[in-house]
Amino acid sequence: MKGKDLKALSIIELRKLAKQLHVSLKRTMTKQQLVKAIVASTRSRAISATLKKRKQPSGKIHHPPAAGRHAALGPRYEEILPAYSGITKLVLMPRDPWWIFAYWEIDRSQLGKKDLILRVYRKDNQLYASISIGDANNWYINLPEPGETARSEIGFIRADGEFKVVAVSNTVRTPRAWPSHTGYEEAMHGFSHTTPFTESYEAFEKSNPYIREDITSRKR
Amino acid sequence: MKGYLAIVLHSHLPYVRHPEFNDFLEEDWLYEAITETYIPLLDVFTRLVSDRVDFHITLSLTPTLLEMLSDDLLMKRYGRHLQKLIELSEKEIQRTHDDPAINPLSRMYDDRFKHYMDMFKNRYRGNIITGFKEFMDAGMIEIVTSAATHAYLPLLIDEKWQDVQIHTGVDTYRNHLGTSPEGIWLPENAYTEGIDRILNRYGIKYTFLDAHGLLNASVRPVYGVYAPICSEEGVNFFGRDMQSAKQVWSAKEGYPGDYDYREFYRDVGYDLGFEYVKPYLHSDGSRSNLGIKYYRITGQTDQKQPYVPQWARNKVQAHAGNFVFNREKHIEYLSGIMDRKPLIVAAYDAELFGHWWFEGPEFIEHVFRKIHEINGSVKTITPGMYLKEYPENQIAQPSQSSWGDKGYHEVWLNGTNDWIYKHVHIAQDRMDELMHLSPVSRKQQRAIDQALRELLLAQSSDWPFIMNSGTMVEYAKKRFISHIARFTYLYEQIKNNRIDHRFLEGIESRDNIFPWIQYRNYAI
Repeated sequence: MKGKDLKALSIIELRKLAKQLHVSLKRTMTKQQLVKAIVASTRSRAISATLKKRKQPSGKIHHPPAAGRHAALGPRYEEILPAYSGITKLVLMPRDPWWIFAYWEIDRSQLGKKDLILRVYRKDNQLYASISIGDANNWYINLPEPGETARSEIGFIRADGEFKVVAVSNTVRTPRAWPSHTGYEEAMHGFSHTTPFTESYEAFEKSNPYIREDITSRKR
Repeated sequence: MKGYLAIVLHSHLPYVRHPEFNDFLEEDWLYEAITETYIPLLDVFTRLVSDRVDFHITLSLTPTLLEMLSDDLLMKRYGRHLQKLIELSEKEIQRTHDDPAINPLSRMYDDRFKHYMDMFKNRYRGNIITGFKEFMDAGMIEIVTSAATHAYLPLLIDEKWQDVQIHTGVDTYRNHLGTSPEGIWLPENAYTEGIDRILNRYGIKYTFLDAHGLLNASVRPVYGVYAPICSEEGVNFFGRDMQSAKQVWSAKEGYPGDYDYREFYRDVGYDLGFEYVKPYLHSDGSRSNLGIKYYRITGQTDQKQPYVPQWARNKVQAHAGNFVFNREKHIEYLSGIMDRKPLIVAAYDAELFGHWWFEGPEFIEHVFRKIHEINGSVKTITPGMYLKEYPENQIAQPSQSSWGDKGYHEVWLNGTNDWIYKHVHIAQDRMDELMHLSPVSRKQQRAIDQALRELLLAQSSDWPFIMNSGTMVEYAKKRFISHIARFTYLYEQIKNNRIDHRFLEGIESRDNIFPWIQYRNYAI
């Protein structure tokens, strides 16, 4: 078991590993101290086994033993999702009129310890949010207006203060949340005080037919 | 006659087929749906036709469902499943012969199962798609298609893959039904701008959205949801009417909760002695629903009373009458303020009728009979027929939406399932790569076709839906992970041109959906 392998892990992973190995931890331990403490631990065999699972993603599929009823669904490697290396991808997905979901894969091999920042731009390129992402690989972002477009970038602040972009996302569009003002007159013109439209809209406001209660909440 | 009612039943099941096991619990979803919804509906249509009752209804039969209904292995297993039910109902008749409340019910099930077996084996020769096609050719049913594996299209993000899902859905429809579809049921009615362009590319003239998909369109629809709108791409969008939806859907306000209707959760698979039902359960011995249920809802109580078919039948007729009465009143009101005939689109999941709500198919039957009998303000219609009468509709771009809980994408994108999308999208990118590989050997081409099948199966919206619902989550996770893993393994083998032939044959025989698919037919 090598200190070199441990150094490649993040602090969070090291702390998790240390906990598993019952290595006594202090909240203020630096990465170096963590590595030292783990190395000093006597459970070398357990560490090697754990490390195999925690190796840097190499794009290969792991082969742990399968268990349970679904074990025979396929060869053992089917139990595990692939790990990706060398891929950099940032994607924005719409969730509803006010929320988008961002996820990313960042090839950190060239980036070392840089603090990465997720920047979200609303329409007309206004910078809306600047989020320090740490070790996270996804984020839900609240937007102030529905029915808009947004895009984002991940990057880091260089020594000279410039923001160096590392990943660029697609443009996402959130849904509208209410009826359009266009066509308001046409929709109301020529009818009595309620129209098919306002009646629908009132019923729409009063109840939520998509609440699939008892009947389908028990669905498979 | 002042206006129209279009009843739309969406029939979908995810592709579940496990040849590696003798029997598999999740295959039951298909067998239950056939026994409790599809055959009963065909039975209803048959009775209506023989009584010369005029009716029109729209059904979506998704590609995965069409593939399963024509799969030899699954249909053989279905025959076996139904045979066992018949055996059990015969034993039940013996067991309950002293019980005047339950014995007639055992006989009722026995008669039903035997009748359905006759329909399945003799009339439809093991393929009930023929039944739907018969009614389609006779003009009573309009069948619409859906996306290949019922993918949640807006969350695929990449339009290329929305295209592949729709393209494959159209092809599957053509293969099984012999004509081209005019309409499509978008999975979960999930829509985002741009999908209309794709639909138009494949000759699709219309689809369905939940009410707010129309109401929140780029221009306010003049007729609310009571007439379709048409996007700039020439595709028409029909909006779902909430009132007719709630009368049937709502657990609180809807008909299915009536105390005289059959109780879903008192099934002999759980109620009877283990040794007695064991031969009818799965080989792993876990208790499951068998479809023989003897109790009625009775009330907000655990003391369920025996089901009384005549009382249930009376309620069905009353509820059907009520439903038709409400639609008549609604149409009369709308036609008074609209300058064209209003259309009410009543759209539901098909499995509500028969599976969740035992009396559902009879309810539909009585709705059609009532409408025919009173010959009043309402006539039944299909969207295709409505468009023939009104080919020009208000131009508006529908709003991004779905019919899911809360009206947008949250059900399929939340803490329980958001982790899947990275894998789906990266697999999509990689599939794109494979599809452009050149030069490529025949073996590689065959493997690329299979990789496409794995990707399509991984894109299924069923997996994130199940993960969100909290039941059968492990199965959904295993399915999703195994398709991504198989895809990735194939991807690496293809890129290195080192194809493991035994592995390829193995997954070809398991994940054999769309056996005719060829990646080279997709222009992306």
